This record gives sequence, C-alpha cells and structure tokens, in this order.
Amino acid sequence: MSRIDEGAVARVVLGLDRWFDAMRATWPTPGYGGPVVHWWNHCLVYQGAGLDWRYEGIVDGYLTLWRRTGDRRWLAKATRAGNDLVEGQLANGCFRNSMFELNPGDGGTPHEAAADVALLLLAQATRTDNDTGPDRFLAAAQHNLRSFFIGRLWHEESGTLWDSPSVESFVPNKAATFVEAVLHLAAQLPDPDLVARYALPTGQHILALQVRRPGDILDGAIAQNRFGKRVVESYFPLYIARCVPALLGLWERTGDEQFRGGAVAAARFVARVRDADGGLPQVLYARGRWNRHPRWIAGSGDVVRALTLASRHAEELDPAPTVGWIVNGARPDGRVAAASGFGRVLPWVSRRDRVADEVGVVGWCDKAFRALAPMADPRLLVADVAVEPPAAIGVAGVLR
Amino acid sequence: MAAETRPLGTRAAGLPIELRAGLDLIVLRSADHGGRPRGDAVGLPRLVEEWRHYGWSGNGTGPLIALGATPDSLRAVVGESAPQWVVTLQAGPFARLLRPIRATSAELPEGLTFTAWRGLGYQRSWSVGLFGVGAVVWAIAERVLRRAGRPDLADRCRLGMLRSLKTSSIGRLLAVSHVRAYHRVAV
Repeated sequence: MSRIDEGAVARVVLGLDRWFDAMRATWPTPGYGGPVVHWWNHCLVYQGAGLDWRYEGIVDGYLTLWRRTGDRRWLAKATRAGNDLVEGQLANGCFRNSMFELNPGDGGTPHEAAADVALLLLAQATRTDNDTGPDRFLAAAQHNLRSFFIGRLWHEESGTLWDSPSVESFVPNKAATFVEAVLHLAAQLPDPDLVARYALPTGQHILALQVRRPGDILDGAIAQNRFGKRVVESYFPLYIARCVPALLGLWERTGDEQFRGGAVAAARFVARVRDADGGLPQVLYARGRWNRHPRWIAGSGDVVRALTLASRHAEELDPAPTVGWIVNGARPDGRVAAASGFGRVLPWVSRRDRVADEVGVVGWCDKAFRALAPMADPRLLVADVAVEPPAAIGVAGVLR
Repeated sequence: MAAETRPLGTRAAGLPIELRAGLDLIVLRSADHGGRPRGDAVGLPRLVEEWRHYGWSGNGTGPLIALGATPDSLRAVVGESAPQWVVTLQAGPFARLLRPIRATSAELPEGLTFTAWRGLGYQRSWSVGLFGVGAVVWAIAERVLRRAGRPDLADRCRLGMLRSLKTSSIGRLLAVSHVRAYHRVAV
C-alpha cells in the first residue's frame, strides 16, 4: 500500500466533522439535512433531515475517532446520530425521509438498512458504556429489519430480498447493505436463523450476478440489478465496492471461500477500472461501453473502504490513490465535493448541471468520513480545525 | 421494459417524475424562509400527503395548494375561502395522449379553464409546463436505444429527459402536467 499523508487526512476528517455540525436540521425531527445530488435525480427542495445512509458513515466514523483517541466528544456525536434515528423512526419501523435523492419519503433502500448498520454499530460499541443505553439502538434496528426488510421486502419463496414489495427485483449493492445489517444483528442476538435464512442466500444471489471471465475488463464486476430473470448489465464501481464488505463478512462468518473469492474479484475490478487520479468512472456496460461522468469524489470513500478491507487478502490492492482523490476534493468549508463531471454527461443539455459537482452532500461525505477516520493522524484529531461557514454553493445554480 | 425506464431504485409505488417535479416547484415557490411549505393543500389524498412530507407545519398562511383537485371541488373551495393566491397542479392536454404508453402515470384532472378562473375573480400569474415534447422525445430515444443494445446512450437519454422536464413557454401547450398560480383580482 502506498504511503498516505495522515496529516492531510486528519485535516479533512476534522473539516468534515465541523461541516456535519453545520448541516444539522431541526425538522421534522432532529438530524442531518442538506441537499442531495445524484446521477439521475437531485433532491434540492426538501430541506429537512434525511434519515438515510448518511448515518452509516457518520456513526462509524465517529466511533472510529472515539476508539482511536478516547475522546468522548466523538462518542457523543455518534450517540446523537443514533438518537436521530431512534426519534425519527415511524410506527411501521421505517425511518422518516430515508429516500435520499428521492426525498421526502420513507422506505428508502439501501438507506434504511444502512441506518440499521449505524444503530447496530453503536449498540455494539457502547455495550459496556452505561451512559449511552445501547438497547434502544438495537431495538430500533431490529424493528426496522424485521418490519420492513424481512416483513415487506423479503420474498420467502425465492429466498430473495426484493427492492420493492410488488416488483420482483434484486439489487446487489442494496442487498449487500442488508447482509451487513443482518450480520451485525446476528452478532448481538441469539438467533441462529438470521444468517442462514437471510444473509447466506442473499450473498449467493449477489455472487450469481458477478461476472467471472478472467482477462475480461468486467471480470469481478457485479451487475447492477435484476428484474425477474432479466439482468441489467450495468456495472457501477461504487455500488460494486459496497458489495465487498458484505461478502467478506459472510466469509468471516462461514469460512466459505466463494465469498472471499467474490469479494477479492469485485475489489480487483474496481481497482482495474480506476483512473490514474484515483477517481472512478460512473458506470461500465457490456461490450466495452462506458459512461465516465460524473465521477464521485466524497462517495469514493466506499471504494477506499472496500479496497482497504480487500487488501488484507490481495496485497496489490491499494486505496491510496483514491484517498488522494478524496483529499483533493476537500473544500474550505469542510465539505468534500460531491463529484467531477456532472456537466459532461450529456453535452449541452447537462451543462447547467455542472454546479452539482460542488454541492456538499452529507450522504456522500459520510463515506469519505468513515473511510478516512481510521487513516487520520490521531495526534491531530484532538485539535479543532477552523473552517469557513458552509457554502450554499451550487444549489441555487442547480435550481435555476 | 416499462420497469427499466424508472430511475434505478425507484419502487413501483413512486410518483411519476413530473409530479415529483411539480411538488418540488410548488414547495420552492411557496416555502417559508426555513424551506417548509406554507398554505393548505387540497386535492388527491396521495399528493396532499406527499406535499406534507416536505415539512408542512400546519401554517395555513400562504396560498391554497390544489393538487389534482377536480374542477368542481376547486370551484367550491375557492368560492368559499377566496384565498389571495391559488397554486394548482393539474393535467395538461398531452396527458391523455401519453397515458397508454407511459410506465408510470397518475390520474390528474385538468383544471379550471381561463374563463372559469376569471369568473371566480382570479387571474393567472404564472404557469410552468412539465414533461412536454422534449422530455417525450428523450424518453422515446431511451427506449429505442435500449432495445438497440446501447444502454450507455439510453442512460444518457434518460438523463436528458430528467433535465428537460420543465418545458419552454411554447412547449407548455403540450405538457403532461402544469403548475399554475392564480391571484385574486376581484374585490
């Protein structure tokens, strides 16, 4: 692994911490708010809190900082985030406004599973801490998993997690987040059924959509989704990276080498298509087609996470270039820019979209935060970093 | 094919994209300084509930928001409450033509006519068309390219459609739906 500038990483992490604080909203329940830009849809009008996958990276990042420094202010922020989810949970188990770029709305995937991961990490980490009361975090995650994912999306006959109760559909990266949540829950509950009944078959379905053609550029890639039996042969490096931790988790739990092999193959695909500057193309297709833009910057934290985990099994995998890509995307107000190239997707038509590159999105920045927190120089994490007030840059431009 | 033309990850129960855009536009133009919608909403229950999800706090000061309200019900509520401003989301003339071939659609009624509004003492202030000829062309191009085995170009056409949802001023005449604002002029 190449050398990473731990000082620079620490400055980015501290900047993100300050920026996250500035992105707090008070309605409909307290939480992290802010706009969302995404490949197809943006969410620029809804200004309340979004209880979606942003919490996964925020909680894990803060817990990492707490473990590395012993400073309880990081634990307090992780706990505050957990409280956001508990207080924003609806009676049906869903989290309020969890649909990210499709907000406002509930029942977002993989967002609610990612929120469960956040709660379960918090419950696990604070098991011996009397001040935080981990039971309510565990209860909230369990309520969501059992009521929403297992109760409404799980299709018993086929042993598949559908993406919609009414459409036979399977989306590997979303299912992978569900697998992670189930593995975390199984580690905290005496329920032997959870892994065998839900996580294992889901992992098998993910692997069934993986390309295994040595020598092909797509070798290791995982198709984006399946409708019925029809596979949508789009391959998004970021979403494929999100499958890696779940597959490795299944290997650790079961010892089944097919999961480790699949995880390493997926990570090698991501590394293979990465650009020299550490960024990744948006999506690849069969027969050598690409759509390069936009290239995610803050969201590439999930790529760093995947390559870091997989590098323990394949030494040639190096997250450092993508760490540099993210560090270069940090801005004076502490955010990390969302992307590069929104204006280049469709010449002329998407030119006004170029301002979306600079929008600060909590649900992308959390991935950078989570990935960089373990790499930051811990001696610098005790300091405060001065950042500029958060910029509303880009949102007004995108709205015009 | 129909399912694939939905944005990835959009579930079957999601709103048609132009209705989401319409709600966004209404909230954008009528929100308070905190970004929360103001006014009272009437019309299709599903749309009213979606509008409230933007953070409506019960603040009734503001325009009357008519989301897919039928002409008769709109006439009744406007006649009774006489709001200073009314913002409507309603079907355009293109809606009926396209409904058979659209992957997702909603039964939005067409609104009151220009004459009917004048009779109630209101004048149109502004009007925005959503999902017009441009968006339809992009959507057709997407389907054609997907069938032709060019998903890369099809995805760009999908993006073209999403970035062309708001029509030009002339294109409004052929839009699938309209957002319109009326203000009271009669004493």
